[in-house]
Parts: sequence; C-alpha cells; structure tokens
Amino acid sequence: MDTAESVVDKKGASGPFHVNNGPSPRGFHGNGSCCGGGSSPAAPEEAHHLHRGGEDAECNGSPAKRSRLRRRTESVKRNRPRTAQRSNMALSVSPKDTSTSGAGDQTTGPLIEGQPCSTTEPHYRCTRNVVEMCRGTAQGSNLGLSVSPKDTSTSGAGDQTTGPLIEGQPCSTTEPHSPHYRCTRNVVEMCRAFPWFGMDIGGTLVKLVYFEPVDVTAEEEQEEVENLKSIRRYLTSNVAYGKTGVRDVHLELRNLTMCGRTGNLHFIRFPTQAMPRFIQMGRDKNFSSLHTTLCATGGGAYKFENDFRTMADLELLKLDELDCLIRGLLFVDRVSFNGHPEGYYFQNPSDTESCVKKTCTLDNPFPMLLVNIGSGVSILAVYSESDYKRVTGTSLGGGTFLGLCCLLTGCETFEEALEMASKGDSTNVDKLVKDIYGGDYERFGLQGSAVASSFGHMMSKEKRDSISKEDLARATLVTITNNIGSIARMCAVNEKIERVVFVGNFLRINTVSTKLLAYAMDFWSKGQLRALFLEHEGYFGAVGALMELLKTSEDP
Amino acid sequence: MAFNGYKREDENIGEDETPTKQPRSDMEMPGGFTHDPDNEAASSAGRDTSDRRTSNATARHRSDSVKKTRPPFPWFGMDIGGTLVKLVYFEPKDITAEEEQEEVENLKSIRHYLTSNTAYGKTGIRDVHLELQDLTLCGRTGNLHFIRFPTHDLPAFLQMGRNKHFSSLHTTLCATGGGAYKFESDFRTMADLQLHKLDELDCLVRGVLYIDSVVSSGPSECYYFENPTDPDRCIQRPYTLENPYPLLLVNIGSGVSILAVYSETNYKRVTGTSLGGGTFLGLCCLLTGCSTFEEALEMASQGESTRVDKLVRDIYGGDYERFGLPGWAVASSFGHMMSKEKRESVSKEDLARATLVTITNNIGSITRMCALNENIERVVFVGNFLRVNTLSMKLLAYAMDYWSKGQLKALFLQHEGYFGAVGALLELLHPS
Repeated sequence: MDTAESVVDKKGASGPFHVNNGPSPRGFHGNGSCCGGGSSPAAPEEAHHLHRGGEDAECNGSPAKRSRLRRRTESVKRNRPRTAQRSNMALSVSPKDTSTSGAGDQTTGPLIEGQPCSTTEPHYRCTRNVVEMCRGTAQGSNLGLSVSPKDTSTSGAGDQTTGPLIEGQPCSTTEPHSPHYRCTRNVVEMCRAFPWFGMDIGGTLVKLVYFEPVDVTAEEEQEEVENLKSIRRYLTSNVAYGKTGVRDVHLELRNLTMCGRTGNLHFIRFPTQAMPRFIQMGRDKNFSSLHTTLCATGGGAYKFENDFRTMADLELLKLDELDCLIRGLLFVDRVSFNGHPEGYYFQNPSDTESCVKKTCTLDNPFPMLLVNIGSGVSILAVYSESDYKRVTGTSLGGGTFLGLCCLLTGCETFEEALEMASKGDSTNVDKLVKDIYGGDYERFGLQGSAVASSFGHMMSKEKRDSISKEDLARATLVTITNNIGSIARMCAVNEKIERVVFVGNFLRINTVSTKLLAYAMDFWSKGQLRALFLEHEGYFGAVGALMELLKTSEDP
Repeated sequence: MAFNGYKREDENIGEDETPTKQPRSDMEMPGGFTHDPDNEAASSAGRDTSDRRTSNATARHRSDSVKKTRPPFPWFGMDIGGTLVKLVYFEPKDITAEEEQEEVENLKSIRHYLTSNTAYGKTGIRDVHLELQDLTLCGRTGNLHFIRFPTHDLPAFLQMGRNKHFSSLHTTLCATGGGAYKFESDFRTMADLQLHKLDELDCLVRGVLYIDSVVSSGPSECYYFENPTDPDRCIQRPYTLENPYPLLLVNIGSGVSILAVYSETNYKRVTGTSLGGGTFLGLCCLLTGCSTFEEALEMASQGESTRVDKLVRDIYGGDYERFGLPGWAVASSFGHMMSKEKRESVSKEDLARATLVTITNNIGSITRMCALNENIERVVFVGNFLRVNTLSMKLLAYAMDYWSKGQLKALFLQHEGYFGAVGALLELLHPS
C-alpha cells in the first residue's frame, strides 16, 4: 500500500496503479515481475510505459495474474471518463508502422501474431510472450490512440487532439481509419467497452451471448460501475431470467480469449415476445449509461430499433443476420467447444441399429451449404468467410412446426410439441407411396415407405377419428423436416456442394429432425451428401454480432 | 360380322371380337371428319345434331399404313390416383343403325348410363364443361367425357362393373396411377377385369400433348393469367403451346411430381414434394372441420392468411432489403400460431386460407428452383388441386412471375387432372 501510494501521489495520477492488496503478489508496472514480485517498488518513470512484452515470460498462470500486467498510461487515464467506458485504442503505435488501417503488416517488422515477441517496443500487447492483437481492456491498456499515418508517436498516450479522429467529434476524414474507432452517425466513438454482448433478435427467439470476463483485476473491479457489476452478477448467477429467459449452461464456452480478455461466453435466450420486458430491464438497470454499443442482428434489430432508443435510450448497431451467422459459426468452430469439436454428424443414418453420432470440425469448410432453420429457413452457399450467397429460403420452418402443432394438438411450447412428436406415428396421418401404389413406385425409385402426400389420410373422417395428437405432432415434424431436407438437397445438387450444415433453433433438442435430415441427405443422394450439425445451433448470429463489436483490424 | 357392302382394303380382325366393330377411315386429324351419306338415313337417337358425318362408305378405307387393332368398345382411360379416380370415356356418335342393333345390351346400358347422367352414385361427377365434342379417335367420331370419383369409392365402382358384366365385353381396361397397381387384384377378383397398367407420368405427358393439339374450338386448352395480383385487371388469356419444348410440367395431385419434358418421348422426373393437394385438404379438414375440397376452398376464399402467417415485416418491421425480401413476403407460415392470443383471434377461414397459401407457395418455390436449374422458362401446372381453385392458380402465376422477375411464365390447362386418364386411353387406341 505504501510504495504504490506514494507513486500515485507523486505522479498525481488519477487512479491507483496496481497496489499490493494483500498476500498475492502483484506485478508492478514496468518491471513485469508479475509472478514473483512481492512488493518491489515500481519505478515511477515506468508508470507511463506500456507493458513490456518479454517481461511476463513466466506469467502463464491464471488470467488474474496476467491481468495484473495491464497498465494504463497516465495521460490516457486523465482523459478518460471514469466509467465503465474504457475503450481500446489504436493497434499499432510503433514508429516503424505507419500503415493506415492498422491492420498492420503482421508479417514484417518484429511483430508476428502468434509468435514470440521479438521487440521491446511497446506496440502490441504481449501476453505470455506472444504477440497478440490488442484491443484494449476495461483499463484501456491502450497502445496509442491515433492511427492516422501522420501520427507516429510512440507512446500512443495519444494525442487525442491530433489526427482526424477526436472522440465525440464528427468524423473528419473519409479515410478508412482504424477499425477500433467506429463511426456511428458520423461521430467517432470508442468501442469495446464492457459489457460485451451480441444479440440476435429473431422472429421467435432472442439469442444473447454475453462475455463474462474472468480476468478482472482488483483495480478494474473497484472501478467498475455498479450497474455493470450488477448486470454481470445477474447474468452469471442465474440460469433462468423472469419466466421465459434461459441460460444454456451446457453451451457455455469457458476460458475463451477474445480481444485480449479471457472469460466465459454465456448463451442466453428468451422469446421475442418478451422483448419489451427486456428493454424495460435495460432501462431499469440504466444500461445506457454504460455507453456501450449494443450489436444486434436479426430482423428485430430493425424492428425494435426505435423501441430500444425510446424506451431505454440505447442505440443498436444493426448487423445483417446472415453475415453474423457465418462469422459466428466459423469462430465457434475455430475456438472449439471447450476443447471438443463443435460439429457432429451421424454415421449410418439410414440404419437405426448402427446409427451413431460422431464429432467433427469444419476443416476446409468451403464450400458449404448452410441451412438456417429458425422461424423460417434461409439456405446459403458459402464459399469463404466473406463470400456467400443466399440461394433460397422457405417459409415452412420452425415457426410453422410450432404454429401447426399448437393448432392441431393444443400444446403451447416447442418442448411439448417435440415431446408429443416423439411418441406419435406419422404414417397414420401421411399417405405413403404404398398407400397409393400398394408397394413401391419402382419406375422412379420411390419406395413404398416414402411419403406421397403429407397429411393425405386426413381427408377421411374415419382416419381423422382414429389418430392421436401425438401422431399429428409427429406428422407435422416429419412434414416440415422432410420439406426442408428436400429443398436443401436440391440446392446442394444445383450448387454442387456436398456438405450441408444445418443450424438454427428448430434443431434444439430435436433429435428426431436431426436424424431425419441426416437420413434424408444420405438416402436421397445415395451417399453423396453429408449432413452436419453444430452444438451451438441457433446462437451463431449472436456470436457474430459480438464479434462485430470486437472487430479486429484483420477484418477488412 | 356383317360389314354390309363396305369396302375394306385389309382386314385386321384377329383381335376383334365385338360384333359391333366396323371399319372406319383412319383419319384422325383433329377435327377431321368424313361424310357418310349412306348413314344419313340411319341417324337415330343418340346421334348428335352436328352436321359432321362419316364419309361415303366406298370412300372409307383403312389406310395401309395404319394397320391397327381397333379395340372394341367401350373405350375408357382410367387414372386411379391417391385421392381421385379420373375416367375418360369416349362416346361414339357415329354409330350406324346396324352397329346399334348389334350392340350388346350391357355396352349400350353403360353408354346410356354415363352419357345421360352428370352425377353417379353419391360422389361420382361428370365434368360436362370439359366434354370434348366431335373428336375423332381411331377413325371414330364422338364425344370425350370426363368423369371423376373418389378413390375411396372404387369398390362401389368395381361392384358396378361386376353388375354390368363389364368383363363380358372383353375389353382392355387401360389404367394408370398408383391405384392401377394397388387395385389390380381387386379388379380381377371383384369384377373379373384385367387391367393394362401404365405409368402415370408417361400417360400424363402423352395426354397433355394430345389434348392441347385437339382442342380447336371453345376456350383454348392452355392459358395464363395477366396481372395476377390485380383483382380488377387480372384476366385469363389463351396461350398456344406450339413448340412446347422444353417444358416443366408440375402435376399437383395428392402429392406433387415435377417433370422436365424435352420431347414427346423424352422427359424426366426432376423431383417431387409430398406437400400437395392431399396435404391441403387433410390439413383443412383437421383445422377447420370441413369435409370436402369445395368446402375448404370456399372457406379459404373468405379468409386472411396474414393473420396466421408471420411475414417478413412482422420480424423486420419492413423489408429485408439486403436479400430482396419484401415486407409482405411470408417469413414463417403459421408463424403467428404459436401465440395463444393469436390463435384465439383467427377464424377457420383464415386457417383455410393460410393452408392454401402455404401449400401453394411451397410448390411454387420448389418449381421455381427446378425451372432455374433445368433452364426452362415455361411451367405448366396441372392436377386436380387446381380444379376450381383460381386462388392457387393466381398465386402460382404471381409467384412465378415475381420471384423470377418476369423470366418464368406459369401456364395452366383446362383439363387439369385428366391427362393421365387421357394418356391411358391413347395407349389403348395407339399402343406405343
């Protein structure tokens, strides 16, 4: 408490530097003795300096330890409002690097991402002695504010007044400037303050991903504003919210590193119908004071934009749902599901005895046919992360299944509908080829067991009186699923793509449909097509939205 | 056999056991006819009042090039589908007095029964407005009748065939559709009738091409809709299907088959879907309590599907511009129905309408994909789902036009669901 304080006092810094709070040693800025150091005095001069790369070589322990290495430069602190709004600044402040976009030439110079740091120059943050793109933290570890090619100041303490980008001011350049200044409404805005959310407001469900940082330093925690803390606690200590909000704990991605921070990624969903209540909650928790950007995708990002603004004073950054879907999907596959593959398929789908689930990753994922089954269905042909087209869609999706089931069986929820379907027999409801032909329709390769006319028996009163609600639920599920499968197959054939990836919350806890799709792809294509599935089903749009928030300079 | 004074150049009576069979000229050109002064005096009850007569007996030849076995009457073509049986019956109008005298009783009674009624039993119907008059087939002139009844009532039909001793007529019964296979043994055991089974899609293609070629008077067989979405200006217009190939043929029966037709004998089944007319009717019966196709359509005509379906604008608040989806497009069929509140606020008519729209649009969407992939611009929709169903026809017309930005044209045919049966009849008369 002593030395640090005196440092503070002497420097007149507006905030505490890392203080020795107790038994656990904390590294002091500048000399990087994070792990061992007890109370070695901090060299005052170094208070200005950015964290030095090679110094935490030993520090590959807990995130908390690593976090102690983060520093905030004095001048930046001075200029920064002391709120949860701690945004990151430019990437590269090396005098050598004068590239405009800051995407940097990661292969030249001494800094190659993923490689040990070979310079002591303060530009990218080094964690575990490995170069990592740094995008700031709640402490604003900033590495320099300005990314204008004109600005080559080293410390990046920044000169927020130089260059064309002045926070809060209208953007005065048409140059594509640093991607971590975002221009919204033509005003330069710092981005990436906590909390970090990605939202996908769909036709039926809202999908929310929340990044819970676990490497929060004591200092950071102290400075954390109350509502931010309360949001964090509320979200992470509950698995249900209100009557309809659910956190899918089994999907949590632990110890994920995003934007230089380590944390857990949580997956939360609630019905879009409950949106007004959600917005109200945002208002009650004074979310807007956090001045964070809320990245949202899905139709609701457009539909509810005004409501967010008027009811909770929140500005949404609207993103396209299909862009986000692809980005999110590739990301989750890349980081894997807590060490396990995100993807899976079924081996021998046509054989109930030997049909078995197998995991897989999407290596060499392109080209792929991506079938997103939400309320409705979109089918995309994806050639690369940024090159895709929407091939077609169908309005007979998850919403149709649920809507029809509710009408036909009196059920009220997706889970009930699936439960009923699992017990029913659709062949009592559907007219099969054998019901019309007495057997196979050999000429065109249609087996007797294939459905010729969905619900075709239901025009007969006698048959209507003899079937159960479970049969109807099953028939609805089978009809919708097979229709999607059929259309997907046509697209795969036409686009000449062999891999068909099915996502979307229609497949949540829906093994009947998953297996049916696997079977249909395999059977009707005579083994040419393979159906793949992903564990995080309907959340990729939200993940993609979160990624947009944390956009790296690598992205064009 | 008494062929009084008729000159014949060759006889081919090996398989002809019916005394009523007479040689006729082999002219089969559409609308073709020959004059038969010898028979004018013999005009009797049953003849139409047309001034077309068969030709002078001496001029009647059987051309050498067409040495066919003319099958004995009656001439039927049957298509036993998943929901309906379609029957075409050729009623000869050029029967001579002699022929008539020799006609066996049951054949006469069949003829009378069929042509003097427009309804049969409780569910059989003759579509009089579709009758093709003065058609010449295999050298005979007569009317082609179009009759349908539910497949469910086939046993009653078989019973009737048995009662009328149909089997004694030793005629071949050409039948297509799944039921030709499914009921083959029933025909044999219940009515002692042997079916000549034919493939339904072969018959369909053949029937479509034939009918379009023979319909020369009255409304054009083929038509399309101009301005399909504008109720004030929407109008049916005739379309000439000459140079029809390639053609995408979408047959919407209980289920749907989509064929790419390249020539009269060259076609392939591109794909199909199980969400067809049977689905519409089945779902409607379940959702609204109706019992017949006509009731279902009646309800649908009065309902509003947007109360039931979730539209793009319900999700986006407007258009989804990025991918060209207008706000009024359906994003999720029946998507509102997961809400109890909304379920309680819609009517049966709304549900019927939504079912119709959903099934129709799904077919349209799949069709459009096929047309795109097969590189075909002309799509012909047939099948009894479209019978008295202008709503679906207009929807299809609109959908094809809109989503293809005018590239695709939706065409329809007057005889909708009967082509399979016609094709079966043709197979009887001109075995391929």
